[in-house]
Amino acid sequence: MNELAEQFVRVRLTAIPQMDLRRFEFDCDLTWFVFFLNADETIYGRYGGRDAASADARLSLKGLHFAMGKALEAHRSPPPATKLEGPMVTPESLAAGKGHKGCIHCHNVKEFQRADAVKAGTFTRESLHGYPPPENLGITLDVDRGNVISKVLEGSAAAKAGFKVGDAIASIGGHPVASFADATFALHKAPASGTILVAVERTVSDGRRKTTVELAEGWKKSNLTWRPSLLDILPSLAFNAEELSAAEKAKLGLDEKRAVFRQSDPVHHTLAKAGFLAGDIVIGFDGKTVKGSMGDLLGYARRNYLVGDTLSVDVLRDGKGIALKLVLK
Amino acid sequence: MFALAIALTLAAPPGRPKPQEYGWLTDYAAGKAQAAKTGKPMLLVFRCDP
Repeated sequence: MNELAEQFVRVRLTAIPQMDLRRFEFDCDLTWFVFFLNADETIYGRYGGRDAASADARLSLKGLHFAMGKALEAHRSPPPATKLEGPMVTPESLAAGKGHKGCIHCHNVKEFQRADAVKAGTFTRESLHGYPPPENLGITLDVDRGNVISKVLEGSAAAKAGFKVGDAIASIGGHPVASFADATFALHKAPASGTILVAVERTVSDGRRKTTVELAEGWKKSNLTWRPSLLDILPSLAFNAEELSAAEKAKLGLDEKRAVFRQSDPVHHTLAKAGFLAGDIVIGFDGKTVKGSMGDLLGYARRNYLVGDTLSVDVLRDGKGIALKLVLK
Repeated sequence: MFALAIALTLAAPPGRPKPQEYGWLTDYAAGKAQAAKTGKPMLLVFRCDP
């Protein structure tokens, strides 16, 4: 690794001031991220990234080594430099960023951009689902060789397009891929629906292949609950509750695998305002049921709703089913 | 994650390592200038201090 690292000029920044965000585009809900680029600011690739499950399960030294090797390959014959016209877009130049006191952290950039979009009336809920993981197409990439497919989900868009385990992805939508970060960047740039072209290197005789992948409506949607930039808009549900036992569920005619809980005493004022009483049994939201634990049911709400949304909570009270409307905070 | 970043500084002495001691620059403009001078590509790490 040392020998490989010596082939780079290594720069470490602990804040993101005065960087042109039009060039340095990346998933800012991170604490560690790498760009490989040349002196003309031509970006060869990205490394880093996380998902809802873990902060570093997508990362490994081998994977970084792999991505560095690919960057050096690209550096041997770099594409022509792209000049960005117009004024730089820096974190400080964002309207919501002006007057920010202290260091501007990566996730602050997303918060400023969202605030500016809300003010301009251009904010959409879909915009929250940026940098979707490749699993949204049905593929998992190898952690140590970041462009190699390690799993293909049966019946997924990737499976229908003919991807196989062991395929090495060369590019997605024209963006080269050598890592999970490259893949999520390319998928971030992909359309909300339609198709995307993926270049795949096959080990058999057909060599490099371009495959069209169908993108269904809503394909970018993923679990947002881990993102620090969204903490102010992800709801917290103030249930003080206990799970029902299998026997209690059976007595109520409910599947033992279903997530069900009973509100205890005291009842939080936000819930009391919505009409909840101690003893109410929550069995679902908006007519939907969830398998698992109380945490799974509450997690469903956090993944699918935002602060300000009205959630219809399905409740059993004294043996009768009712729906209580809860405005999420 | 932090362990990965540490590995890039080539060694892990006791206490918090200073990037400059291990050949890391902490200024982007200086990095660009050195990349232009040496012909090497840049490895640019964004790392939020905990």
